[in-house]
Amino acid sequence: MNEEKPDDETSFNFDWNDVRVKSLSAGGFGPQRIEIWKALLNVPDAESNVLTEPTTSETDTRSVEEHADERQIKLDTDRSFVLYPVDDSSEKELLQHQLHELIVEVFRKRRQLSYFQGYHDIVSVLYLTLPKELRFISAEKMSLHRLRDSMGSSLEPVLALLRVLQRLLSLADPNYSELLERNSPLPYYALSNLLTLFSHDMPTLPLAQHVFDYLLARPPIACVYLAAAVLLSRRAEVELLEQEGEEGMIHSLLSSMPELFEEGEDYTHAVIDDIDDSIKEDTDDILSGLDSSLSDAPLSDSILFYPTGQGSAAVDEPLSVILGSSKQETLIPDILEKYEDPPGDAELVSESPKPIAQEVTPSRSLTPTPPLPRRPRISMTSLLQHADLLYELYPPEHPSIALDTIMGPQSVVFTWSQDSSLLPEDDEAELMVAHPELIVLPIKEEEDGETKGASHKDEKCHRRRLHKSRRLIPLRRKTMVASAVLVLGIAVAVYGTGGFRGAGGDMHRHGHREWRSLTRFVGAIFVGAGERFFDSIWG
Amino acid sequence: MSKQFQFKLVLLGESAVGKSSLVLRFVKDQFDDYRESTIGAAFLTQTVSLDDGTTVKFEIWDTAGQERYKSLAPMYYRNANCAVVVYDITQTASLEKAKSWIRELQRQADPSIVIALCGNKSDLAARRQVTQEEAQKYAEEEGLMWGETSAKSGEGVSDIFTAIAKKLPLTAPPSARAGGARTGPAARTGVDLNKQTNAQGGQNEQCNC
Repeated sequence: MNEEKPDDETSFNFDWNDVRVKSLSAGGFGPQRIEIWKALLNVPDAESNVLTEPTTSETDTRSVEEHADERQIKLDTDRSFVLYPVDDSSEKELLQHQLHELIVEVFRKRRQLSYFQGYHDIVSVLYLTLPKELRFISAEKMSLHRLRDSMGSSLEPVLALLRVLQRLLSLADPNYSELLERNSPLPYYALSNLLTLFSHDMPTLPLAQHVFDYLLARPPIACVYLAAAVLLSRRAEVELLEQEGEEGMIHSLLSSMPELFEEGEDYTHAVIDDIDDSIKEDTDDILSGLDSSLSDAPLSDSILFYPTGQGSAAVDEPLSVILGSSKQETLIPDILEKYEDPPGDAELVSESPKPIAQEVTPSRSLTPTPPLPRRPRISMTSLLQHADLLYELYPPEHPSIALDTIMGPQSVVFTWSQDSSLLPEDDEAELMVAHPELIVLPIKEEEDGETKGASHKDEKCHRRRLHKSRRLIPLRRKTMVASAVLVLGIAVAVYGTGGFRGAGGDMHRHGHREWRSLTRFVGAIFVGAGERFFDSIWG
Repeated sequence: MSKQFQFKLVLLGESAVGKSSLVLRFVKDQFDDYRESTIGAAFLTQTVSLDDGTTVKFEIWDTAGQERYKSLAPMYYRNANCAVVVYDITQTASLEKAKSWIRELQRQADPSIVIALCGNKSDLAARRQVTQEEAQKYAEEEGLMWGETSAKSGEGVSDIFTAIAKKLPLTAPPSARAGGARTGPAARTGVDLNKQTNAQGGQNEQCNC
């Protein structure tokens, strides 16, 4: 917990595999969380701070002028800690104040970074988890090496991740993916999860911490796989809503979390806690509303629970009621059949944790409302394992994912390394946000139009019909790969030069400066050459 | 025999002016002192019953206020039948932001879109920076509906949505609800470009271009 151990780089020696395995277990890192996060974020020990952070001292940066985003930061921290940890408003205000100070400190030091709404949710998890002396440096490291893509001037990088997510979904479950694309050109409902690393939507701190355990132990792209696992877990509900023709309801459903629990915990108790704390968006009311009947069934390892529709969980109220419409609507009669067909497993037959039908015994009613369709109960462990499985089956290099055809060489998905000596220096990382063209690769015009959703009704239908075939045109794949080769070639050149880093001492600082200017230079060449290159391909 | 309509409504406006709170009041008649920021967009529905027995179901897209989320907004207003552009009466800058949203809607949204300018936080009149006259005058010039609301007290909230429901052309096919919404705003097909004929009731509303 505290930094008594004067080890070298980090005070916690760990094996990446061990840590990854541990992050899957119920409760994640548990009492070791602080030490492990510290190591995973490459937070130096206090004693070695001087060596690794020779540039600025924090005291210098605290008094500097305001960052342009401070007003927005204040607006958001003033309404932070809504879900947890405290109800008492004076205590809440103190937390909000300290959170605000912490975030402002990061931006006053790392002035190139831009604040995004939702960043405060991420930092609030750090704030609530870490001791005071680790909060700033952890937030800084995490921002520079994991969150950086989202901290530039635009949303483009996270929209690009949505495209990666879409590719992943269409591999993992083509039918479901098609259904989703009929309703939304991109999986926008996952935006908040990708931007805030699930911290905005997790109902409790322990669950948010566990997700961070999982993500911090993996490359930054892991959040896309976890988002996919979340979306796949809700297939049955989405199919139901699609029958009702509720575009917006699908958005609401998918921007909320499935009902999560830690294996072995007192389930009923945990859920009640979640709900009492929950004063969230209406999407969350789906969650609480759907909890009207619960089961205390024994939990086995690695099992995704899907509702069976049996017992009193039978559906007789439409989801839209929960979302605020006071109207009763007709039910889909074949919901039971739908729910008996476990979603998302068709493509993962051999390796996926096999969903089982769980007999539902209502144990208590949280609300006086009539029984509702149940959202899936999923143990955190099985959800995370599912994400790992997706990663294993469809890694970023998979030809149909081809992460390097979407993200650029300076995206965190490529600059992050589990070998901390290969990470960009903090200052370099900060400057990378100034080159959005190296974070997200340019996309072909037609795809651009699609992602922006810029179409009128008829045109849109037409596009939807075309969508699938166009996406898979082999020629285009080749051009994308070719351009990626170009990009990566340049990236390798850049990084090759940057490889002088780590030589240590003065040499290091000198090399660092050269590396930085070279990055800019090559970046500029890349932009110019890249445009011509793409023009010549796509006319 | 009663008619049922379904319209897409989008909320726009600067961060923290109370867009989500306004919707929460309208949809659930609730108010939270602490209301977290909206990331991306949220979706809700609410149905309004009019005096003649007609019901109007609003499909409400509540958007994030921070400037960086602006690029997502077209997705939500593109097929919208109506927009509520919210400002905070205690923040002059938020009216400027509202005006820029209105300009964007006038340029980019469906020309028939019904736009309501909404001054929220009327319970904080002691800290008022935007006068009613100023906002109303602007709304008149631009042909917008206008009203002040307090999501906290509930004042004016249902009025503004009801006024919009009345103003929206009620000539759209009532079949709009069953599945048509997914592929596009089916309710929009019957939109009358000349809305004056449908304008009635509501507070201070002006006819829309």
